[in-house]
Parts: sequence; C-alpha cells; structure tokens
Amino acid sequence: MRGQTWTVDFIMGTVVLLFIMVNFILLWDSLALRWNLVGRHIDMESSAFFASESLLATSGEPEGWEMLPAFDGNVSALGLVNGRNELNRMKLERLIAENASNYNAIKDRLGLQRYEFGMQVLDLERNRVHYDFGRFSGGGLNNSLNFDRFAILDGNPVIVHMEVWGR
Amino acid sequence: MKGMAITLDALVALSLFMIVMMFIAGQTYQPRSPGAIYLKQLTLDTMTVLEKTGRLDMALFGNTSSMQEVVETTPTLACIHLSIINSSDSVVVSYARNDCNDSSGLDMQVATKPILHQGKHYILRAESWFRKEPD
Repeated sequence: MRGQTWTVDFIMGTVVLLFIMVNFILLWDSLALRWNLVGRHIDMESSAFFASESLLATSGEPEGWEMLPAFDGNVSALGLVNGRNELNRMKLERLIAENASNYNAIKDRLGLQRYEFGMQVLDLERNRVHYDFGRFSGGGLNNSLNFDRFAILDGNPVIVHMEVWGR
Repeated sequence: MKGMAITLDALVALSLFMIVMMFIAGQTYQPRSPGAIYLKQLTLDTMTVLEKTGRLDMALFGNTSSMQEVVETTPTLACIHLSIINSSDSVVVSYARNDCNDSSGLDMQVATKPILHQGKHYILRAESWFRKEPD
C-alpha cells in the first residue's frame, strides 16, 4: 500500500514538473520571438532615420554627385540638399533618373541594404507629388515604417514622405 | 492530513507560478514608431523650414497663418508647440498644433534656435511630444 502511494506521488510530481517545464519552454520561445521582432524593428527604424538625415541634411559625398557621368563607386554618400532641408532639384532629378538602373546601389549608399525604400516629395496639402522614387509596399505590412519630414523646394515647404520596409 | 497540506501547498505554488507566467506572457511590446530620433528630426525640420521660408518673420509681423499651416501639417502622431521669445524673456508668438493641449506625463523634447528679425534677437523654442494615445 505504501509502495503504491509512493508511485502515485512520483507520477503526480512528474506530471506537475513536466507541466511547469512545458509552460516555461513555450513562454521562453514566445519571448525570444518577440524580442527578435523588436530588435529587427529597432534596426529598421534606426536605418530609416539615418537615411532620411543623410538625404535631407547633407549634400552627399562628393557634394556634386549629381553631375558625375556615372553613378558608381565614386559616390560614397547621398544627399539631396544644398543647406539643411533645402532640396536641390538637380539632385532629386538625378536620383529619380537612377531609380530603374541603380535602385539597389542607392539603397546601399543610404545604409538600407536589407530593406526596400520609397520616397515622395509632396506639397503641404498632399495633393501634388513633385517627385517619386523607389518602391512602396502598398500597405498592409507589419514590418513597414512610414514617416514624413519637412523640406523646402523652391522656397516653399514640402513634405518628404518615406517608407522603409522589409520583405 | 500531512499529505493534504502538501497537496494544498503544491496547488498554491502552482497557481502563483501560473499567474506569473500569464503576466509575463501578457506583456506586449508595441514599438512606437517612429521613435525619439524621429521626433527630434521633425522638430528641427519644422524650425528650419519656418525660418528659411520666412514664416517666422511673418509671424513676428503678426501674420501667424503661414506658420500655422506648417505646424498643422506635422504628422498626427506628433504634437508641437512653438514659441518666439524676445530678449526680455517675453513670449511674443505662441502656437500649438490643434488637439495637442495635453502633454502631461509625456516625454517632451525641447529645441531652441536663435533668430534675428529686423536687427533684434529672438529665441525660437519648440516643444514636441507624441500625442497621447486614447485609453
């Protein structure tokens, strides 16, 4: 009788232990997945904001990159402005012209190798698109970051809408 | 009797364990995008655009509508309050984005920039924060 009690006790103990262990493993797995997603989102966020800063606060390297005959290794950084937030039409037009053939190279220069990138220059009412570059997700993605910044085009304020997203 | 006490003890321990596990599992991280870097960039953009397009000068002449136009166009998730302060430390122009009156308990960013208008020095001060999410 005593031996049977011990066996029942052992089985019960094992069941409880297994229950705790399974719960712990499931929880750990779920947390690891969540932390991973958070880490990836933060990486994308940082890359997106540094890229936008490069475009709207610098002229690029070299400064006159838009005048170069080819978009190649000589261009180490991209910028679209003369002074902070003052968009240069020639730089914008060159960027758009390189969209089809050098989209990936442009992303590389902006530090966005791992993501897709789209940019639009719009008026303040968002009625008119002055420039359109890159690729947009079309919405419905979790790993997409949409944000707007202000700039100046021909003396007028404009909205620079950007989307950075992962496939 | 002793066995029952042990069983009860185990049940209490297990219940506590389950409560803790449920609490941890319920913690959801909602990445608030864009983050603090973006808020700073947006604030600096607003200040720079207002200054370089002459809208601050217009505001100091009494016409704040063109300044308001830009401030009202900031993304809905962000709030911004602009003040222009003269050398006597008095606020001469002040404008906050609509529906952005409640900033209590929120992380705020403050940026200032000196401006020159008709030979007089002013300070442009911008306070920005993310709009309070509805409960």
